[in-house]
Amino acid sequence: MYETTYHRPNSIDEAVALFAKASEPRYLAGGHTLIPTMKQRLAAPTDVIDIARIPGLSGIEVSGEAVTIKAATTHYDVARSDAVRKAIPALCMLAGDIGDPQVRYRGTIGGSIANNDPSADYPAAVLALGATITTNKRGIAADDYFKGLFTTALEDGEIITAVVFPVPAKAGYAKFPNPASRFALTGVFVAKLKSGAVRVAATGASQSGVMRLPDIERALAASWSEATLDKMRISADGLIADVHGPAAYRANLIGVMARRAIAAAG
Amino acid sequence: MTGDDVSDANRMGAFIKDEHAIAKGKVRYIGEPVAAVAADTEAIARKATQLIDVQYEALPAVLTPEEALAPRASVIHEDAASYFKVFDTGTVGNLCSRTEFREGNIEQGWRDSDRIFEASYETQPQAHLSIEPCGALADIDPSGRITLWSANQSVFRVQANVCESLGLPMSRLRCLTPRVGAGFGNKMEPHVQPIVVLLAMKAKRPVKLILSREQDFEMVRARHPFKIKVKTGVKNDGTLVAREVDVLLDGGSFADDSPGVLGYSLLMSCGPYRIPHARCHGRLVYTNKMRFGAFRGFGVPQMTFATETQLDEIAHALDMDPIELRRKNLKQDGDVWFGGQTIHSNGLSECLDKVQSASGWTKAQKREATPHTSRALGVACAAHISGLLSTGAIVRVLEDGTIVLNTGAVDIGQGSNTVLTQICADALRVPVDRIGIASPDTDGSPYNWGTTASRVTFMTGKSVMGAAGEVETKLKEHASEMLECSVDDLELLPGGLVGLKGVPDRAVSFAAISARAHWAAGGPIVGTHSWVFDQKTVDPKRAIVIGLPFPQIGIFSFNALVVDVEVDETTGKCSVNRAWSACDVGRAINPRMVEGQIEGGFVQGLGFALVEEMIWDGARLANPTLMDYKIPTFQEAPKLLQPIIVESPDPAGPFGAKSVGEIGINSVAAAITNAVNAATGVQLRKLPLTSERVLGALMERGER
Repeated sequence: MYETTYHRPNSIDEAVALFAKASEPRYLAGGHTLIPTMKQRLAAPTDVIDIARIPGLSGIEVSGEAVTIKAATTHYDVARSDAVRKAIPALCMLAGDIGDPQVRYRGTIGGSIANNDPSADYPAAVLALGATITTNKRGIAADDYFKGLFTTALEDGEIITAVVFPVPAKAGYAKFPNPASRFALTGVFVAKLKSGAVRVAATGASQSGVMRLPDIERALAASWSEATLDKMRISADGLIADVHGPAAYRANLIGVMARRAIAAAG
Repeated sequence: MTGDDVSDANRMGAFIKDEHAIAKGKVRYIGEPVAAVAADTEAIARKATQLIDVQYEALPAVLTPEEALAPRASVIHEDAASYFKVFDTGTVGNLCSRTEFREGNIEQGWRDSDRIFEASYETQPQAHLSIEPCGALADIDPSGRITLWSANQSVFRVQANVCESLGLPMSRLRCLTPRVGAGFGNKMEPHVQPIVVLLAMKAKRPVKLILSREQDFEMVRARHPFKIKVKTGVKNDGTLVAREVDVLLDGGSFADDSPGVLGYSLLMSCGPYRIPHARCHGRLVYTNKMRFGAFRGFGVPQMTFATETQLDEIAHALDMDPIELRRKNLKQDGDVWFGGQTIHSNGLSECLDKVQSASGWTKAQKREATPHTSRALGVACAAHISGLLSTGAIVRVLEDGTIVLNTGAVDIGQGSNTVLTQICADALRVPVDRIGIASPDTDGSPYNWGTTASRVTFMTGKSVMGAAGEVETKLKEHASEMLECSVDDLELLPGGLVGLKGVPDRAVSFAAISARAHWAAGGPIVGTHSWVFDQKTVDPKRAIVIGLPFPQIGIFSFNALVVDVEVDETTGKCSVNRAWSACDVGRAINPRMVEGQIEGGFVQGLGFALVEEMIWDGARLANPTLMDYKIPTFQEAPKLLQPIIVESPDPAGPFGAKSVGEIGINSVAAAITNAVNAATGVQLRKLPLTSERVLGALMERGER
């Protein structure tokens, strides 16, 4: 790791000001991506601005229509939240299966969404549920937010403050974890919204990061059942091929995980 | 420090002296050290390494044995012919060494066979992943004598390698081994010790270097990838008649322990079975990868994967129960091993009985599964040696009658300090808490070749008994004078006493004897013992062997393993639900630690079978991190993993003990592959059985 200057601001304004002054700043939340990247010397920020402990930036609020998870809330806190479990049980299950306990105690939803790792779990839930990403400047719809691998609609210095998930009629998530890192080799989140719309998103599979699966959405909108997908062939075009598996394997996993997600959703 | 600091003539290597302390003139693989910097602080050292500007002339890389053996391939060691070698290697171009074993008449064997089975198998490189990465610390005193602490499996191999590669007399270097965070083979031969010593000599100050996990992955050593062709001839009743094996072994840039791995895998290529006609040969090839070397199993997990999965194919083709096929062909006590060495103890039949009964084995191997999965039992057997080379022990009686034991054997976490202490305590009839065990130190410990080849309990244990026996003799000599009786009338009594046989109150304590020895008569009591394993591997009347790297290798331990494997047919993911591993260890000196070794060997074998694979992207290792390199965790370990100890004592071992360090890993990949075949009908001949590979095979099966 190269030398860096560590800051712990007490407010979002202070964090933004620090960010504006530094030459190559990065925000730090749980640190589960930034710190390993710095250790491997793939990133060398001059200033690391730790926003995880800013007062008011963590916590969960549940209303009848929405679950609001503030940005610095850890995966552990989401996984064990009874209120979230009642409203969107699939979200608890997803959070409880991220990485390992050490990761879940430190990792945050804001960090996961801001980093937009193509194999992270949360982006699948955000996109499939049609959540809104709230920042210090604005609200961004999920469909406008994810812009490809590690790329988002966030502007330089912009900070996520919360993610607002509409409570769906049904939702389910299933993933095939990479046995080494436990990131999703492929994970599929299925959701039937209260409006009746069906949205399905896959993570881990595509070369352009989290993506919606329109064919599966159409099929499930017609008939919400595992059997609907039995005959469906998933194209391997544009899917990731790497040391962890070829594109065709991920294509197969999309179908298998989609069926399991439907089974989990009930 | 660079290659300019080492003399061209100073090369190290266990079998072929082909390696300098640091790259000299030529860099042979990505990850090979080319320069080293010591500085007052880590920050300065890092800054300095960034200022190093290496001028490379690019040479074509050869990355597979086939490429390396091709005509006009770029030669990796131009001077190989002039290197010192400890056996007849047959080195030519990139061919590092070759070995062949022949017994019976292979052509006659094919004529005598009713059916012949032939296939090719491939295994992958596996990382050792000791929890502690490699590291070393060297200090130099004003007289120029060096002290070196390092993570290793043999303090004496460290001394030899550093002195050979730096041209130092061995008397100038003292090597020590603090607690070691596991070895599995990668710390047997050198890693960074020569570099650290040379830096300390130049700086005249202490120098420490600890590798990062990534560096440990990229530059220490790994398990060899094997390509194996196996051809087996069999009678219709299942009697094995002939076996031919051809091995192509990627050794990486330096020979290291590779010639031993090749020779040993060939020695084990007929398995624990009677096969009258056999011809097994192999070639070891230099390539531009990191060196491959010793790893728990030493080539046997790879060979066993090939030969034991072929045995199942034969059993199924002949409609025989795989266990019955094996039982029909087992070698027995008093049989000779491939090559001609006599087996004096063989508990494999009992191992098979135990796992057959514990697992509820039936010829119909399939078991009930869920709608999307298939499930079946699979079996495999293997053997391993314990022994090899030389060792010693010193047992001293301290002034107060307590004992200190010094063997030079490194306990790498497997528990040899405990076992050797137990042996000493039992021999002298004292409680274990009266025995201290010295840490390995080349200044004070007797020579010990190393913690490798499953040898410490067997080899060093025997020396401990010998040294303790000498102490007993001396204690009795003192006691006979103190009690005024004949030595023959004395015996050791529990608790550190020498007593007159049959006269309970006539006894003297070790403390009284040692006080007398220290202050009045005879001098301090010291017992010593040393030996070298000397049973010949090859009987020239029976077998012809070319290029044998080890003339005398140890005695035999055995394993039978049954696994219950479930295959998810939608994802290809294989998991082991239950496993029963029975090991004939001769005598379990410490049964709980024996079980620990069987369990640990199984889980490491599970990783080899299912997920672990070092992958090269061109010349560069693509997955040198734990984010990308998969190892099993408790999540992947079977819910039931039952170690079963079988004791068939060997007359040569201490209390009949043989070995357990490696035997538990050898059969794992083969047994799992056999279960996958029984569950799904697909025959996989390439490891690891990753989900994507298994799914691919299942899909091909579906299309057939």
